[in-house]
Amino acid sequence: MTNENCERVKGLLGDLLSRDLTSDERRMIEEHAASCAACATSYRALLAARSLLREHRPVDDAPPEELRAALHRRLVEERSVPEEERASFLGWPVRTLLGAVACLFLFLLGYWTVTSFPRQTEDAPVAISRSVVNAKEPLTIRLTYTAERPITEVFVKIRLDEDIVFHTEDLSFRELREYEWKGDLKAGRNEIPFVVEMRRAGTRTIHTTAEFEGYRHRHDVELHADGETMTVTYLAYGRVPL
Amino acid sequence: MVERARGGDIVAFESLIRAHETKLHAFALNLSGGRRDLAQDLLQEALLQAYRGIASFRGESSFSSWLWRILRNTLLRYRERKGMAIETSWEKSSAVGDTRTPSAEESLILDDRLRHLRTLISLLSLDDQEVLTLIDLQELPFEEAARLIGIPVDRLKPRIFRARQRLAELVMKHKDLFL
Repeated sequence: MTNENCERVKGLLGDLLSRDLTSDERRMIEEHAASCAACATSYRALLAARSLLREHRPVDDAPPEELRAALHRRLVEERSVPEEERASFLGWPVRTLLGAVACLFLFLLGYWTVTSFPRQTEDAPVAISRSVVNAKEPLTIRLTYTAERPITEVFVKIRLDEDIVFHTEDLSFRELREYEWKGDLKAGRNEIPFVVEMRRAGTRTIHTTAEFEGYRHRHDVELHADGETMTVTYLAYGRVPL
Repeated sequence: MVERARGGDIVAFESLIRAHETKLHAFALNLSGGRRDLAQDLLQEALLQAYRGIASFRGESSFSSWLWRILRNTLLRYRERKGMAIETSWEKSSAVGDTRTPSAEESLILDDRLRHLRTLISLLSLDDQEVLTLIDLQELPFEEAARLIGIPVDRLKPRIFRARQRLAELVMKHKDLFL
């Protein structure tokens, strides 16, 4: 073993990841490695690295669902009103209705969470989220209102298109086409679920507005039922002065 | 779809990026030394930038190239802020317990080595990293990698050759990690 041999072999080892060595070059490395522990370990390490580069098993590099959810939240915030005015509608509801809905949670398959702070103009809705659910099952919609501070005197109205009904055994609710609620929202997350069902295929809309602090915020939930599946699209409109 | 995304339609934007997110995530993962938390932060930041800037996307390059450049710039900014050094972990994984099967042990060793390889790649220049990541780790065809980077294929080949040589030097320096 000589220093000169080591240098020649190291030069060849440097190419090991870049190209296929000739049989003569490989033999030179192996003969040298038999008597030079340092070059032998380098050779083994490089073979391992080359194997990883050329034959490494596919790894699951798909982004996790949490990343998608976090990005979605930030995209929604991106469309939001300025920070100091942030106060979102996500919820409404009606204490009396909540009791009925809570019982019906056991039956739901469709589940959807919405959060919004839209900045669009009233005539240009933005699709905030879209889900596909089983059309045969009741659909729970969670309207979530995240407020950075308590907001008083919030006025929420929800209106159902024809062929959409609240999913409840209480007949007085089943006949409701519109519901109005007045109340306060606490700082933080205010989440209010309600359950609806669609009676026949087609496209229908649940219209919601929330009024507070001099503005009206409009959000629509578009339901498109087609056979077995239903596409649920949450649309946000820009706030408008009252 | 692009037009809708330009109008701020989040669903349209998310549909557009869906086809590219796995490759982008893999790229971020490889260039952040296999650190998933960092890779996810960088990717999220890059996609947010893409959403903000989609009005500037004119279709002169492919959407994937455009996204990839944004991610690359995001990573570059991160490295500049951090003074280049992405934190790396050199310690070998803890010993395998008796209850593990040989296949699990073998799998752990392979995972370990791959992690070390990613760490070494993250210590190279960004130019070297991107070619090694795209071609050797993500196994993209040369044509696609060249298109993403924005150089002709004939310039890509010597670049990957040199990048592999520099990686080999690092492997020899840290050979214990692969034995």
